[in-house]
Amino acid sequence: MSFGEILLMIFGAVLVENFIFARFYGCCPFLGVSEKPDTAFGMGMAVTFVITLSSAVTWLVYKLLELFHLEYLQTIAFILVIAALVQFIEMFLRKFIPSLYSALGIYLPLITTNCAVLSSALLNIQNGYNLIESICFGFAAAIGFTLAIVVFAGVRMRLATAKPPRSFKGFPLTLIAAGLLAMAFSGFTSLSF
Amino acid sequence: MRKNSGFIKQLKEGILDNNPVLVQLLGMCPTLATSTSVENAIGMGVAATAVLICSNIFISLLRKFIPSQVRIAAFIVIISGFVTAVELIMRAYFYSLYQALGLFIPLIVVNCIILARAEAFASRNKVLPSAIDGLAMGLGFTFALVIVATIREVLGAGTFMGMDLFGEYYSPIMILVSPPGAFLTLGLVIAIVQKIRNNIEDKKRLEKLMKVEFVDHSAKLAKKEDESV
Amino acid sequence: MANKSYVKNTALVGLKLLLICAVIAGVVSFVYTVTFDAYQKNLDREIRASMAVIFNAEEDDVIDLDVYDGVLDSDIQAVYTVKLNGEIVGYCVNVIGKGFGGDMSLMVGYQPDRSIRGVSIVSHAETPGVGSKVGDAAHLSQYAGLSGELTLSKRGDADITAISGATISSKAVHDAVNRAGEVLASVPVA
Repeated sequence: MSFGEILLMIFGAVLVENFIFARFYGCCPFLGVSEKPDTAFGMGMAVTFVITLSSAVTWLVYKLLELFHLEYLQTIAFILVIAALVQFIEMFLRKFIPSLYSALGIYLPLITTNCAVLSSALLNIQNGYNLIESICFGFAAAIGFTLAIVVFAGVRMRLATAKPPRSFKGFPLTLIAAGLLAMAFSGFTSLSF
Repeated sequence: MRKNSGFIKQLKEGILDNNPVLVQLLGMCPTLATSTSVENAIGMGVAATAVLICSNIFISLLRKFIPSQVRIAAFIVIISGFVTAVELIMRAYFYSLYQALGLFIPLIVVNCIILARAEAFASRNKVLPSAIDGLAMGLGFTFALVIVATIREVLGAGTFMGMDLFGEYYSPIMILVSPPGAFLTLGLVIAIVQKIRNNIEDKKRLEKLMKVEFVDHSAKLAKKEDESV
Repeated sequence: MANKSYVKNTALVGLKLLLICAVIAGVVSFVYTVTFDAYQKNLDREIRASMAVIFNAEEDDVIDLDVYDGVLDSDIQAVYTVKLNGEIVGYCVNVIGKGFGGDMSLMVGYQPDRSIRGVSIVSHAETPGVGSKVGDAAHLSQYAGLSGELTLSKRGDADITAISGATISSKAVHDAVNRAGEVLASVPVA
């Protein structure tokens, strides 16, 4: 891939194939966590950090598995790597960058079971990306995720003051708002590169 | 007899009263993503149910063996093992389904329902109830998926299980099979479920209220009558 | 003393975790070995079925494939010379197109004179009812008989007319067929 193609891939991963609105990866934290824009941003940054790092590490792990013809163990290996990585990042930040830890720390344990992380690792392999492309794709996908949860948190602030019919209160209203946002994002699909 | 009714109660709990998707609001990603057609929904539901039953049994068997400090890691290893096994079986014997579901099969690993049942139920209960719990929750998940998928496929593509329903004169509501339609349909389905639950709750509360007032009144009146006499 | 029991305890925990991993790895490897042949057969059947459509092969016809692997990359999966019951009937290129739902695998069949004989879809992950329409015979038959670089438009003033509502999927097929043509042109005559 040339530099231009990588740029297009990043653009596509952020807007057109947005992890949440087009592919549904990472919907649980998206629907559960994003109550306020600033906490959503914190979560997004933590996810970006982990996805970018794990993209590189899982790519290397996959090459290792390929060496031994154990490709079919990729799911197990990846989830273990991600869990260990999250644990490691948490310890590292607590010890060496406490300011960052206090900002992102509370979101870290939630990330292991965030399917955005595992799916970006698996997509890197499925799409046959090399190491650089994998890191770029992981980063772009995570930025798309962050964009989605921050925008949506803004929407939710407004929803909190709305008075919907009783049966729509809470989750249904959230989902319908997400549907409308997804519609807005689907406008990007007609961008043709 | 008692055992049997417990089994049915546990099933009802998982499918209706405590449905993992519609009531507990877990496992949103696969519900949104794989409900584009009924066939995919059933495939996803059955795959997740199989993993849920196996992992529940295995974790329940090992519940005294797994050290509590590393139990989450152990659960994840066990779950991802079974997910991989299911994936391998599907690509060998249900190839078209395997392709249709794509990445969402390995993503069963991070399906919150499975980890939640491992932590909340299987690690604390005996093998048989854990297996039944896995079955019940899996069926509940499948049930919710099939409802959402039926709405989306029938209205959004005009087909059911791939069969054409309305002929050429129906122009499908295409947005329902596209990603925004997933959010909208699930939102509406959960709203309906909440409506039903609200109605049941209101009815119960009303009954309770009426009972209390009725008893109170009669007692008071009787007392008053006594005093006046 | 306390330190010693701590070490012992940690070692025990690690050992138990290792044991669980080993058991699970055993289970998975077993399933892998048992299901491997069936999976290979699926892949092979899929390739042959998509060729049979293009070359109108009957069920009991024997399709022989000579694989030419000098030009493969991440998009070009395979280039075949197709022999039906021993006779060369044309070429096939198995190419990956970038669809809306992810990769789709296409089989592009060519006559011996290298004009397109037909296109069929080996597998795709397009939205059912919308994007999956690119797999309809009516759409794919537009490609038959054409050769060289093909053009695509929504209005019907080009070689190929895109399906409205499934532009991305149509474009994916179109781009993939063009790519396959390019590659085949560089393959020496079998």
